Amino acid sequence: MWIYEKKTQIPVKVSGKDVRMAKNVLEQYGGADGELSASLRYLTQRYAMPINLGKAVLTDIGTEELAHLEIVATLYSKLIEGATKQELIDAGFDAYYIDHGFNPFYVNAAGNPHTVTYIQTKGDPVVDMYEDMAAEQKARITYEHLLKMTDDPHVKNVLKYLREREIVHFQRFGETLRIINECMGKSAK
Amino acid sequence: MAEIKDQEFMPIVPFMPTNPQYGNAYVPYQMDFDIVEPREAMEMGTVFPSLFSQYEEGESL
Amino acid sequence: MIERFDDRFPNLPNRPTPNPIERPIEKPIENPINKPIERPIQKPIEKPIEKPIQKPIQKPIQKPIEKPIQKPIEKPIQKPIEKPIQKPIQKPIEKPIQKPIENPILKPIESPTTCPPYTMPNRNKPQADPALVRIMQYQFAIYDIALYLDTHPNDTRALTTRQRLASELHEMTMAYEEKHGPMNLFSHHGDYAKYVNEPWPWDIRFSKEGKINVDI
Repeated sequence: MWIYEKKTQIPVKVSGKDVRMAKNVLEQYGGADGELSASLRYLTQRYAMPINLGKAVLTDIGTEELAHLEIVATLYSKLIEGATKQELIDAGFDAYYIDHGFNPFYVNAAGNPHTVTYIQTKGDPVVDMYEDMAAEQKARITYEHLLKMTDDPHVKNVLKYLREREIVHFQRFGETLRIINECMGKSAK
Repeated sequence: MAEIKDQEFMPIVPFMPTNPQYGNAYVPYQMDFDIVEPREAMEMGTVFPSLFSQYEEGESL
Repeated sequence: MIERFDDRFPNLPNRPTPNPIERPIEKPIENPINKPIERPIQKPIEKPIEKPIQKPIQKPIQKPIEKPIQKPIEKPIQKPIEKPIQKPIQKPIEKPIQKPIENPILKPIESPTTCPPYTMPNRNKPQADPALVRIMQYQFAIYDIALYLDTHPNDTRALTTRQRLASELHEMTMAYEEKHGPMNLFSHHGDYAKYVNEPWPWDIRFSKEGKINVDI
């Protein structure tokens, strides 16, 4: 089960409101390679994983992705706080505001809603690990693109932290893949 | 790699596989446990400086 | 085609209640359509145009057009353009008029049924306790070591480090919770009554936030 600790994983700070960046940050909230996709993918791949070590890795990384989802939502709400009507219109964000107000919603930066066809679990441990490693790489590069889109040093720090976590998750999934291959399978020893 | 005492750590798999096969992908298995203080770790993004990859504007791996 | 309960299970001790459908309906419900058919036919024929057209035009149309349009258009446009430019975060806390889009419907909803302390917007953004940042650092370090231990289960170096950090974290969490209330539902320390009203993570403001080009 999940227990909620009443804190974000890292302190999230912004220098000021930036409606355009708030819209972009939603890409990692409800986008194809965002934190929601990551957490749903990992948490649902646990059940057919035959090795306990794999189950532990998927559970812990899936839970951490849920925490990252909260970080992205906090970043969004701080970036859009106090937005005026003209700023929303200038950023092209007025349609989102009409539909969702100041809440983050599971859409990507272009406004496409999240769908579970973004993720996949094949039931085979090796294939699932490859999928997870690809997902981490895609998330990392999305964070790099987002880093190029802002000049705010506080926001850059949050995004750099999240990018580094994706690299570490890739390493863990890679090690799990090695262990699955070499302790379960017929391949390299 | 650096010497590791048997009492401390017995790796489950070697650093890289001894007999790699075609059609597979291999990620090196982490052998070191050098960590930094928690305060610095949270700014860096990880406690392991060997896993840290500095992001520079305009670069991509 | 009503099955008798007794026929299928003759050995049951309790006699079931009879099927209510079999009972005759004592008070048949009058067809409600019959009566009103007479009345609505008569009146619209006699007085077709005059009265029903006048009333819906005058009174209900006035209220939704005039009042809600005036307030969100005039006041929110003028003031938030000027003030948020000067001091981005501090002033919007003091003068709630500057955040009109945040809660434009606040006034009509507030009065009837809602309880004011729980529906007022969070105009006061609280400052974070520095102890919270240290707890975040230690929890993060332990989490990273836990991920390492998932793929390196027998690494004693990691196990001892994790144990040391966890005991330090426990002490810090105890001190923080005594002051601010529990951080999760199952926590042993702290006054649980504070859980709801202590600041929630996305409302907290940290030190040096809002200032550009300052070391964090």
